[in-house]
Amino acid sequence: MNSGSLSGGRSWPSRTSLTSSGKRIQKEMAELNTDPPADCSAGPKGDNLYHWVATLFGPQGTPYEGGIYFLDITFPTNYPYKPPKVVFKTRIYHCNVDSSGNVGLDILDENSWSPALTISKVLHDLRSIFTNPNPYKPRVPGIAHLFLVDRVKHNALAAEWTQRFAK
Amino acid sequence: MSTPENSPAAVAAVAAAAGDNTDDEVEEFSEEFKCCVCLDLIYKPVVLACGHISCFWCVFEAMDVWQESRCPVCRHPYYHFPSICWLLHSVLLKLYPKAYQIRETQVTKEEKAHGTFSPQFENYLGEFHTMVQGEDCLDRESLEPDPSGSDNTTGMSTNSSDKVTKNVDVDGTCSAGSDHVDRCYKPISVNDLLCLICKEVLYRPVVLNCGHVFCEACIVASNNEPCQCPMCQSMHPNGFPKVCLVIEGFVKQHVSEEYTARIGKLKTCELGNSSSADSSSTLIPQGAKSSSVPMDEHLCSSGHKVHFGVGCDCCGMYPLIGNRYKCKDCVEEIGFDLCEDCYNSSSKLPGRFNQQHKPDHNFEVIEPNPIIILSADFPEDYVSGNPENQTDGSTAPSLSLDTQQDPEGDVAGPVPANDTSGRNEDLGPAL
Repeated sequence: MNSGSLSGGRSWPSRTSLTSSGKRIQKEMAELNTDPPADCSAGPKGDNLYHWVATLFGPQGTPYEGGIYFLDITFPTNYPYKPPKVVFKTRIYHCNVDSSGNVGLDILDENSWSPALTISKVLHDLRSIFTNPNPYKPRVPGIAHLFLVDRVKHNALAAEWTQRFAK
Repeated sequence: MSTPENSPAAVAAVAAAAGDNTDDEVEEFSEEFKCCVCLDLIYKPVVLACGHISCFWCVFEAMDVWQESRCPVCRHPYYHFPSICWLLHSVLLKLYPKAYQIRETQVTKEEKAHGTFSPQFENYLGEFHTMVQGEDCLDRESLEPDPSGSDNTTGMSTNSSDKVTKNVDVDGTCSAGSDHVDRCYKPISVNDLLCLICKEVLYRPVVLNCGHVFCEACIVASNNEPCQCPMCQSMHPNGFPKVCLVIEGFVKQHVSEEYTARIGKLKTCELGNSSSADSSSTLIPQGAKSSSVPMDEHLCSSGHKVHFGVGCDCCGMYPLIGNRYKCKDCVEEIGFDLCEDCYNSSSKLPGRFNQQHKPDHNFEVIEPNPIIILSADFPEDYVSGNPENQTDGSTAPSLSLDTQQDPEGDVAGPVPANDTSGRNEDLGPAL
């Protein structure tokens, strides 16, 4: 129970509870089941509602085409007031994903996150970085540089990684 | 237990039913009344200055402890936690009696677990008469027993609420004639959707920080000053409020005849007034519209005290800036604080969290902890690190108690010392 943790209870306390975050995650799960987004899937890893696995399919017309990417999604206990943590488990050659799989996605940043965002919207944004990498806010500056100066070589490398790691 | 048998009931409603209630005929609520934060039916609606709606606790939790908060939907900045919009509350209660009651049971349970309570409607009845019609209905709600005993009540009210839902579903234009048929659950009528000033159907409704709803044109705003609520005289600090599109859409849909009549009347008014330049009743105070309180300047200027994690229980300012007046006589764990403006103004609303504050209570001025001001540049480290470290002066005694109990001999030395920063460092690993 973290109620009143901020200043000993003599002020407006934080009162997020496991039940409210759990309820919200369950609702998102139900919504994903009834209205699954295209080219991806997501759901709890096992019994733990706060650890999800997501699968993204590399979109056609990109060097990631044909690749299957697994991601770990971890929800904080004060979700949705804090963003979920998303990590690529499949290696990918992408300027917004570093070698440990951490994703540089604006909406996953603590300051840009909004509790009105859902996993379904996060997946949508993740899919869009396949088609539109953002080289101006890179996680891997080297890849971003190559993306900007030699797109052909960048795409060839990305396709090679897709073949090696994501099939 | 969660299987919907006859209808493709809203997922959220089903999930809600699965939680506490096995009743499978919970109303399906419309998407516009789904809270964007908890994805459930909005309970105790709070309308932000940008016109977006969320639950009382969802808005509160989404607010930023350290700086201006932003609307979850449009990121519009705001600094004040608005009061519950009781008009919308009573509308939802009438529209979805069962689903709303399930939400009430859920939230009450959570509130009990946390020991902090959202305002009850009865508190507001004595202060000002906001509702034209909803009072008797809501009285019933406040009389309702604890969740432990509510199984019976739910069962008993099922019949009456069924009637109402059907009424509302069949015709959205619910007649106003059936006022005294069912005292508890009446269908939505024009009387539920009146502006408190012009007493006509709401046209371009705006909701002020105090939760009162008016037509946009009925709020008088001068260009530079924040507008004031004509009912409770409290200030609306977030610039001129934007039209609440959900309420507007609801009015259009449910009392369409009266709404069209109102527009027709306004049009003839406009034609009549077109000769006299600025007296038209539909004029929107343009100048006040874009103005927003420059609270950031307050935050940055060194002369102001910022009480992080503390809010004013009257105007809802959060974090509280300036002098903090803490009630010495309120016994609730959450406390009762006022900002300087609210302390000096005569009207003291009941607290934001249902505190039993009385006018004869005494206040003391509390200074913010100087460490907090220094840490303003690195709020995130503090949030993720040791939240317990951000104390104000008021909590220091309890902290020192903790340290004396837990790591006995180790910290005994530094605790009585006068320097709080030393104490915090020592506390870090212990907590």
